[in-house]
Amino acid sequence: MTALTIEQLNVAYGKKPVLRDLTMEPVAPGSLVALLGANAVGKSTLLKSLAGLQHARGKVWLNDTELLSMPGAERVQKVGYLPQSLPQSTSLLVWEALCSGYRALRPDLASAVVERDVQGVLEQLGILDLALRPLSTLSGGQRQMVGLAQVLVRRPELLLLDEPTSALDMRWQLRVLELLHEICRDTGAVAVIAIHDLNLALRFCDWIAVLAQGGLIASGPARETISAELLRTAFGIEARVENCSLGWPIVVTDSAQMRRESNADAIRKNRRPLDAIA
Amino acid sequence: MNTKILNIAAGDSPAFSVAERYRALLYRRWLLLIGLGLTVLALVIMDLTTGPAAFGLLDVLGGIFNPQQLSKAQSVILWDIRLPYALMAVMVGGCLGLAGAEMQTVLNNPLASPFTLGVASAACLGAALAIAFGGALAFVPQNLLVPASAFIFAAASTLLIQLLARFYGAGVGTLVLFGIAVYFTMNSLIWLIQYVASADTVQQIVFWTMGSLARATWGKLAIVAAVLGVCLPFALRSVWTLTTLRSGEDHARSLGIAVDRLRMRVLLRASLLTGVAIAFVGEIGFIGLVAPHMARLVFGEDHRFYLPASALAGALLMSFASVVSKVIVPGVVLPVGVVTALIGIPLFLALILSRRGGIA
Repeated sequence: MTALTIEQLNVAYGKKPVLRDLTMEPVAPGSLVALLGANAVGKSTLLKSLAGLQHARGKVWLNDTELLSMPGAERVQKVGYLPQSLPQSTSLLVWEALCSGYRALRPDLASAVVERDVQGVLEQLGILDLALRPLSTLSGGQRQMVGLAQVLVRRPELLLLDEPTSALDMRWQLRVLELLHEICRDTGAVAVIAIHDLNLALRFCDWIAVLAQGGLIASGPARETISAELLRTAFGIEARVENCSLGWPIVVTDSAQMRRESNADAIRKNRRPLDAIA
Repeated sequence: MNTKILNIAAGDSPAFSVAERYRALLYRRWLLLIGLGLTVLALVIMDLTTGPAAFGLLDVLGGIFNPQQLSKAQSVILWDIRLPYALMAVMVGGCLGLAGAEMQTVLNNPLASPFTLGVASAACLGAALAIAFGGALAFVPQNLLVPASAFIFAAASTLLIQLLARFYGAGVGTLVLFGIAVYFTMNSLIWLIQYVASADTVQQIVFWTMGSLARATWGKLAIVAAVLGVCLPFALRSVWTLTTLRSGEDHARSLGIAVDRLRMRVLLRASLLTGVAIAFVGEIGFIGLVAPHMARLVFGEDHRFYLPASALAGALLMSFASVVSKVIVPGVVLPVGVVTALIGIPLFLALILSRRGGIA
């Protein structure tokens, strides 16, 4: 059964088109999808569109259900979206931040169920010790973990995570991606994560979708799709894709295509050398 | 049982689950909320016993429960002056505290208060116009014309901001900027009226803008109480969405909360609370700003507690200001608006300094 398919998605800010006829071939249930691409290429816009937070035309199928035409109240039960911005630094306790959103979304649930689920997700993420601390006392990384918990506690069928590991140290990045991989595998949910670390994407994601020039320039199983040519087109970098000793593909970057002007050239052209600016 | 719960709340009991420790914290917050309510009640009683005419605690309590025991003069003092005066302080404080709390949440701004959007200034302009040019409407009594005009201008300023926001976008920054523009425009117009008005009229306008509970009557009190009685349950119905909004607007949107619509609804409610309060007692500064901060410092931002606690903190500040306004100069009742900031600021600073983390 197909889990996630995107057909001819069009998104514009005013009259300026951002995504044009974007189509993604069917992604299997339980997949962790890495959404890759250079800055300002439209990754966040795509995730917001899928979450229903940005007006879009086209079709997005989650299993047999079309998401874009679905009423908002119904869609938020199926789709969990983690924004790029971290939870605000307020005096709200972590426990309250999780319970309030969960209750706002599911007023039908008994308090005991809400408490059980919130405690469960905090344990799963390894941040139960933060539960009774105000958000204002947490570091950026800890708040990002809380944001992730706010999404995971709802157990959505489609997780849309905008740079979920951007504020985390390496240990927590690995932990989060391992957990997301497990959740997708065990529940059949699909997670689409915008991520900049290519090696983490290749290590944990089953599928990659590479965004450039308003559409997907590549989409497919991670190991088969990644290539030096693709990286050059998408990011403007010279890189090699090699296998590490454990057999995982890794990206070794050599240089940016934009040739860096040497200090001697700069001085000759009567400009400040780059080193001096830095 | 109670001791056990309070020990759990202290957080030193790893044997208890987080849910149990949080429930203990809630229990402690309920106790604090009840304590706050009782403190307001005590201040109301103190307010009733304070004033130029000697009236002891037993006389006051006896007079409330058995009015027949009072002399005619005592009955007038208690039932026609002090009770409406004291209860108006509670209601106005409650309205301003609740309005400030809701505005700070939906505007995501710790400096937001009923004054931020220029609602209070608009009400003052309405009152100033009625005082200066009300003579043209001689068939309407002055004591009705001034509050009615104040309320109409407060409501109109809110509608103006809503319209501007609808046409140009309802972002938080835009709304606050519109509010500041309205504030300065209204103040300029008030100064213009004062410039062209006679000395007597200027004196009346200045006195009105100082804010005074002396204008309280049972009829006015009933209107303010009714508005608070209607707005508070609506606010409490939104506690989960408002609490969710505190962890971030993007997060709230992702849960399907229509943030712009929620913000407009809340601002309309806050304007109604402010407009009614100011229409009957004049401009009362500071309560709408400080009461939510006091509530937040003690109760956190779970809006199940934060909203009622803000209303109660507003009532507490106003009642205390009312008492102080009567005792600060023996035999003279100062306008309460003069006192609110004077007593609010030290209390506010003490709270901030006791929490080194600040207030935001």
